[in-house]
Amino acid sequence: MNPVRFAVRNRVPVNLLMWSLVLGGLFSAFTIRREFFPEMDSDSARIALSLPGASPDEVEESLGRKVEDAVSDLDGVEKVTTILLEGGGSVIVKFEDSGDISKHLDDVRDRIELLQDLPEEADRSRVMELKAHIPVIQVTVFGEVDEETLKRSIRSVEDDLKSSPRMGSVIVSGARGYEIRIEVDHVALLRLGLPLTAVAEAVTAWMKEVPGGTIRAADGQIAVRTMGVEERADRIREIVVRADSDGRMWRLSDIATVEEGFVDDETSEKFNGAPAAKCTVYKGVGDDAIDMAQFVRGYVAGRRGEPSGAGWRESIFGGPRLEGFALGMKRGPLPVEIRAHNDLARIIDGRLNLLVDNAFQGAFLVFLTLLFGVNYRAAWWVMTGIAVAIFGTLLIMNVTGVTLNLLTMFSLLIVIGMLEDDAIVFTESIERVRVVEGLPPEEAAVRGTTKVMWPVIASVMITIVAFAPLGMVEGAMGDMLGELPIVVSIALFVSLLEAICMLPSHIAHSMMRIASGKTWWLDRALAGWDRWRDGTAWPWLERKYRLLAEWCVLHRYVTVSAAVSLLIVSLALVAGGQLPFTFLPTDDTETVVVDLRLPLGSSVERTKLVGARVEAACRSQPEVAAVTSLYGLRIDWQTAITDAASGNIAQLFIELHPIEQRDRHSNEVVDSIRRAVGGIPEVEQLTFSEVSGGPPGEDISLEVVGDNIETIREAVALIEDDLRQFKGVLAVSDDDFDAAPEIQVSIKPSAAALGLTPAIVARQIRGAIHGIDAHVHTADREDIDVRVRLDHATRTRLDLGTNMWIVAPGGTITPLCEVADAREGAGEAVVRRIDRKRAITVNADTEMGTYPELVVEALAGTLHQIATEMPGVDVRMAGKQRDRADAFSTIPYAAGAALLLIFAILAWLFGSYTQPLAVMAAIPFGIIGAIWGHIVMGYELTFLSLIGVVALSGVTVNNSLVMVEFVNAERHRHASLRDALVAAGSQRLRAILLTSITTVFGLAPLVFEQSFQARFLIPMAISLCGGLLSATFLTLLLLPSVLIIIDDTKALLRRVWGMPAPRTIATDE
Amino acid sequence: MSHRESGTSSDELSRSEAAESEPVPANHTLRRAIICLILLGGSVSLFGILLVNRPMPPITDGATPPQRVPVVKALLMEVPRQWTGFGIVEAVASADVPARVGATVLEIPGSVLAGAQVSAGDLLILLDESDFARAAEAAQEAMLSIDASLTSLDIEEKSLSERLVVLSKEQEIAQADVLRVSRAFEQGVANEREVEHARKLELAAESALIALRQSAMLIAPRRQELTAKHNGQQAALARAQLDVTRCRIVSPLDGVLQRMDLEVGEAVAPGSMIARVVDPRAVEVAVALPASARESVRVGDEVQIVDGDTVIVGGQVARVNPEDDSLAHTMTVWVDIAKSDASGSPLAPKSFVEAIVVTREQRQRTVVPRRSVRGERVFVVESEELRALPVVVAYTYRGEIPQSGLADREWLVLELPLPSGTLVALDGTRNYQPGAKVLAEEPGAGVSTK
Repeated sequence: MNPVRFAVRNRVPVNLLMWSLVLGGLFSAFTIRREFFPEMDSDSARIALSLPGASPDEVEESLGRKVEDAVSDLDGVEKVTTILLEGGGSVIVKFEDSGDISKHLDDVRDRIELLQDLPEEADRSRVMELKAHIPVIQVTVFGEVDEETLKRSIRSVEDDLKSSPRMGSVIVSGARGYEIRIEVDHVALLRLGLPLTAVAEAVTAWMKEVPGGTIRAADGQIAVRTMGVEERADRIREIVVRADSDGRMWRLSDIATVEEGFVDDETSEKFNGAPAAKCTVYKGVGDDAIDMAQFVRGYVAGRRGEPSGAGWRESIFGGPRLEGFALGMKRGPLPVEIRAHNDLARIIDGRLNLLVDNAFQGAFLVFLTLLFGVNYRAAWWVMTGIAVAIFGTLLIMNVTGVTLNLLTMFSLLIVIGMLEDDAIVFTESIERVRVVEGLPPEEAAVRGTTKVMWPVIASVMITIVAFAPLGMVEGAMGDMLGELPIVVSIALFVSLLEAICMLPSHIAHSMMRIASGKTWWLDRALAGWDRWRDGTAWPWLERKYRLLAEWCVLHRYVTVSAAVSLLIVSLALVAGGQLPFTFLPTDDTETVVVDLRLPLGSSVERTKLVGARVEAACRSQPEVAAVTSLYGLRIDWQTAITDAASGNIAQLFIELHPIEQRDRHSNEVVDSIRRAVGGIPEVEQLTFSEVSGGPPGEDISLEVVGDNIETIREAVALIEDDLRQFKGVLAVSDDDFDAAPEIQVSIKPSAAALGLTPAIVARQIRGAIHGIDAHVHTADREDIDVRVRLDHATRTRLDLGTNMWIVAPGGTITPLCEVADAREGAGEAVVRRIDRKRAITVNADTEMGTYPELVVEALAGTLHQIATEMPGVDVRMAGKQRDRADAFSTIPYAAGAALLLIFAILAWLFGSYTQPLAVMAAIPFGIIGAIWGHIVMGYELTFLSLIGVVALSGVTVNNSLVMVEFVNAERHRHASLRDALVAAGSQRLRAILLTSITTVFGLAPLVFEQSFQARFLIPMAISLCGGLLSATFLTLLLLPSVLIIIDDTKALLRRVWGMPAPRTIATDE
Repeated sequence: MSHRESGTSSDELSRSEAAESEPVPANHTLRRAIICLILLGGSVSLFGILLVNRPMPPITDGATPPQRVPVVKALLMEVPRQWTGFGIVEAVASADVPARVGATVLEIPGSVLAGAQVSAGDLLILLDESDFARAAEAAQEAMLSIDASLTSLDIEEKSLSERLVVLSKEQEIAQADVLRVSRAFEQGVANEREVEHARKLELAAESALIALRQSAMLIAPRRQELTAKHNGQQAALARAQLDVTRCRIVSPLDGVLQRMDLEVGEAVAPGSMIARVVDPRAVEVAVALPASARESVRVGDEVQIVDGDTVIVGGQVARVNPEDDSLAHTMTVWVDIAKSDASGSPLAPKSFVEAIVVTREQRQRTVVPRRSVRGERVFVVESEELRALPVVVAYTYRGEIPQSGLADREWLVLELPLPSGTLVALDGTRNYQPGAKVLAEEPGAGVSTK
């Protein structure tokens, strides 16, 4: 049985299906997970290396290279990146596909296990999945209080947040750990002839708890344990470090101070200048960012005793904000200030709401447009079909785990303008059949639908195929865009289902009601409008079109030449740089991360001085709401890992006021901050990163790899010199940080006379400078070290390495300089490798108005020079340049595949090899409108614009497809192809204009959106709208010309080869 | 389906067919061809023109601004060398007070306690002198006895000398008598028995004389003996008297009583230490320095006794031990610590201290901040160009150098001097490029130097 006929005759199951989709979609709309960008599957494994005390060079030679060699030849390895620091490092293995990361992890672990001849001192290497963490929101406690209060407060907040199942990972920063410090007077040590190692050994020995076993007697069992000294400063002070034969005992209190306190490191954190600690909530797989942020905001409001801020809906139905608020109220106020800030989820919410608003506006415009084409009942059912399709899409998305994010929301926005296409075609066909053939409503619905069903199915398939290339784009862009074709396909499929199964039933029902006289006041009110529309407006339009079409057909070569010229000129504007292209425009953001690095060896006080200057520059901007400063520490906000801890580094998190309260883009604010900071000569690196949730990276990023580090540095210098000459290129830097100052100690052979060995000397030196962890115990949920080291004044002397005295095994004290040679040297601070070669990455930012792509293009001369003069050095794109290259490398193949599929579908539909070519000829002309649309709207071309052009191909073809179908139908009734073309065009004019204009109007609100929130997506919308307008115009006027030219060519070829003319109806008649 | 149904009239069809069948005039074709060529040619030309003239990223005006490099003028100066050593503080004046007699402690003044200030001559301990007093009395009695004996001896000596005269005369008489008798005998006047008798008398007188003479001769030795005994007793008396005085033990010097271990009634043996008095005002330190310091340390060099970064007190090298400690690889110098006021030296005797010996360097040397040296090279700015210069570090210096204008406290002294006024990049840690054009900025030019 014909499904259309079944649906028309059985309204109940049809309506049940419709309501199922609607209700299911409504439920999904409230429960679907929301995030900013789609989750990108992890495709990397991280191998953590540990070789305590080793320099980066040693780690490279003894550990790093071996691990690299072991994993580089695994199946599917795309890239191996190695970062080696003092004491260890990481090897990141990136795989080509993210399909089964667990299998890749197992492979890596197996290879690591098989490694032999590793240094004995090396700790076991750990293999783990490298996941990207996106920060959602931060909670900071701050105030002029003691550190203990601050730590207890942030612990309390951390525990509360972690208690909720909604939370991802919560990372605390700014709260130092505890330790028990034993600071030994070095003079006292020498007086006693006692090395520091002996003190540490004494502490270890006395603090050890040793289980003694269990006495098993007849009357019972009892366990015995030897207790160590209690882990308290007053007890530890009594530990005996030396006992003489005359009974004299030396206790720790005699030679050292013992204190319980915080770890003596250089890290500190401030919030708007006050001591602070914070929790950063990161989103994990499966988490809803908006729910997380709302929970946190509610919790903070509860702890502050403020109103919850929940809306009416949440007040009735409950929600995460109220849950958090209840928890916060229950816990009560803190002795410090607490504040939630850097809320990335707010941006998600804002943008999703913006798109929802745009969707409603677009839908309204579509409805108005439909009223110009069809009667209000048909328009109503078309809109109903759109709603059913949207809800059905949401339902399927929720079931299959596709989240509601910026891209999927945009997909829905695009399809709103497309979903009605099939409904319009069906509606118009049904109407025409009813009027022309005079069939009853049900029969007219069935016949009208069946008549155009296959062309519509073909056009839907073509649209799906046109979007499919987006799923094949490689790199970070591919990960982002991967869900777009899925959502579009789902929506179009549901829409097609609705158009075939539900729409005819509803249209038939409406026509039956009209036929039976069951009309109401709206019918009467709009009757005049319908008459004017169908009797005056459209006939007039069709006449004008006919005249224009005839002229174009008559002057077909001029028409085609003009169109081709216009295309060439449009392309020239892009090729000539009049319409700039930027791969990914910098999105406006509310969080900026500033990374500050001074030369290695700089004191934290010096770093704070410089950091204060940067902070002042930030605060001088009215758009800055708050500044969080982190000194002595750097957190990679993408992975939530502390990747550096040193006195010479600092990190500032700048929170800007909400986007809608600002007049300036975050880029402009950052530029102002840069200018306010000015040049600080002693700064090694000062970078600004805007946290937007999208692909990270500087604007310009180039990897220079090779075997010889000095040659690589020469190449880097050339590139950096070249970059600095461009205006608008800022913060040119690289990750080849300064060499670490080093005192290299070599033991003299004469040291043996004192019983000294290099190991003994090394341990004393290390103990003096670094300290010795004599004992560790767990208390208050953290590991607490008991650390023995020299007093602060002694161990912070830079000449300690040369002027210290050591204790020989017999107790004799001797100057180190007499038993060892000390040389001021330099070691590598960091060793970076890519694919088993040394690498340095050059980074730079650009001001607004400076296009990174142009700058990279301008570097071609320098890159060629490097390739020629330094054959061992290879320069590769990285960061956004790499993403661009990955994306562009696959787009041609993907687009080509899509075009082939489109051709196949059309060839099957038309039964011809040449007509598909004529239909697809409209595709390039869509580019004209896309380009001029950008020029008129004042936007530059972006990668999303190109995506829009690719997607446009499917939409463009649909108009031509239906027109050619009608041409083929009309061809049998006209002797002249020209007449058939003009007649077909006239018949399809309304349908073609309606489908195009509704698509354009569906996206129009987004195109004209002024908010920064939407800027990221607008270029894609412009491509679709502009391209569709030009393609529609050219389809109506150019396609007939092209078809006749093809016919002319066939006739010429027939004449040349002496073949007979084809038979036509006119010929037969 | 009829044409009418398609909405196209037969007239229109005929007109269109007629129009289509009419040949296009040649000039129309030519005109259209020219228009097509103009359109296509123009667009391609425009494409080429725009492509060739596409805008490139703007270049900065003029040359790239030179990199600003904080620098400092290399200082050429006499940089003292600092040697770190350790030693024990000893008081220059101190005394262990022994007991010189064996006796029982009779009394200890109440003010005599460990840590108390004492002056020279202050009574520390009073021992029981009675034994020694009795010994003195005995010696005195003995002396008196000897004196009496000496007096007797004088009388005896006088008597003996008188008797010697008498006996000499008797002997002379006896001898004369013998002669007479002998002559008489010869003359036969006397008999042999008379001769013998005279001779016997002579012999008796001679014997007596001899005996008397012997006694007279023994007077001197007897006198000596008595004198010796007298002296002996006198010495014993003096000794006893001395022992009596020694029972009063006093402080030998001004200072602080460091130790007092005795109690009343306790017996002390001769030679046992009963107290120690230390004069803390004058101390010296025997400082062990690295053996390689011998080449530069001289008598008179300044010494700082330090506690961390704090200088407690200063001093001077007074003496240098000519021999090294070959095991510990050290040399020893004695450092006189500057005398402080009456309150005493801040250094307590026997304390273990850290000392920095500052040796004078006669040579002018270049000194640069430690942070400007990296990998045995510095960067210098010459004619606004950066140059890497290898350097050898002679030694380190710790302290402020005000004339540098920097707050740095860690410096390196170079083996070979740099020309005076050489601009040295402050941070050798930067990956500067040799040959790069730079702008040198000296301290005080708005640059944060520490």
